[in-house]
Amino acid sequence: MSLQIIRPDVDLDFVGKRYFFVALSTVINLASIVLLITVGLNYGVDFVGGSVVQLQFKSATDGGHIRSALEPMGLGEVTVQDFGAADRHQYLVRFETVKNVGSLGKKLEEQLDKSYGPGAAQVLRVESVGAKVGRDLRRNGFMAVIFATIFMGIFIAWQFRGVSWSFGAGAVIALVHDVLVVVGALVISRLEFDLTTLAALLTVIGYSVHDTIIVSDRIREDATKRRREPIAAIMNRAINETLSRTILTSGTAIAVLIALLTLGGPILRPSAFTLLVGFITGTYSSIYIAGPVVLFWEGKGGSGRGRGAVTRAA
Amino acid sequence: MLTLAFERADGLERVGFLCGVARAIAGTAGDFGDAGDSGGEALLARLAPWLEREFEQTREAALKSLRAERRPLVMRFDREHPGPFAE
Repeated sequence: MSLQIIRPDVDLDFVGKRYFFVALSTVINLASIVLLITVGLNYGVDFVGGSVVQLQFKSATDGGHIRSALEPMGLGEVTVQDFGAADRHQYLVRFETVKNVGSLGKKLEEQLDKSYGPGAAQVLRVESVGAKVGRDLRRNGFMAVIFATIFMGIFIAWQFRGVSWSFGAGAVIALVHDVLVVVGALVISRLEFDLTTLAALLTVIGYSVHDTIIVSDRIREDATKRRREPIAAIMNRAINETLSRTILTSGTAIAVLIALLTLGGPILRPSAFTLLVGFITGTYSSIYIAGPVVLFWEGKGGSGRGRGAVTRAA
Repeated sequence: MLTLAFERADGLERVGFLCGVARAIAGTAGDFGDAGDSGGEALLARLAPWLEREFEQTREAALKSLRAERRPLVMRFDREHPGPFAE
């Protein structure tokens, strides 16, 4: 007996509820755009430049004391945060990259020795990224997201041109929706947006279009078999037919990501969170965004073939 | 146990790690001394060429340990894993 997550004869009305979910997605996307403009992402040092220093002290201290100790070095605005277990007395210090610093680690230790005593503080790690490098990485990163989205849309439009060119538009709009939802979630969560998170965002784009292709391919297959049926009915049947596969694929991936998010530690948390939100919204958009775009195109006679029915086979 | 660090000449990157050498392979106490700078310097002279060859691996492992586990990487050399102290 095969494993049946969803009954083979399931017939849920996804297409009929599309207006509600399109409206909901529009509100969420607009909120994401507003948040991105007004609050902004919490960029890591990769994208804004600056220095990160990991310090370890022999006894507990606080951010204020550390800032005071480093003030004579003229590092500008310094942020200090606890890092790790309380008994380890480790702190992360961030400041703008200082030019021509020579041996920054040694100078930091010498300065801290003056306040805390010889050997009381140890510089475990220093990482610096120049401001220009950070800006270039940020620009290139966003260009990568934009180009990936556009070329995915072109590819899908070409592959499904036999049924309708609107599949490409649906895929692009679904991808933009996914990226905006993920970015909005990152703004709210204040998780650090660094190169690893950007890589996770590009992975979300790849996964989302993969799921869209699965549903679109089933629509194309059903359209050739049932040429007289309205496209809305074909689309709803295709979504129901692929529902079990979608739930199994997405469900297993999401289960792994939940484990990664809870057990992966603070370094992996931003990318695990990005992937988790992206996979959920990618599955949702394949059903409730890509499909309605195609229906809107076909219903308005975008192909000139009249309302509803698909009249050309793949 | 030695505390070592890789540091770029321009100060833009530094990563610290710990290196433990078993006395059995470090030589007799008379060769390197029980403590003091001369013993440490002699060990460092043996370690430096090896660390130069294994630089990228050691650097990546040390960074990962500090970022993810929030503790310095500990490299241990003993009879089973003599590293630069192999004869």
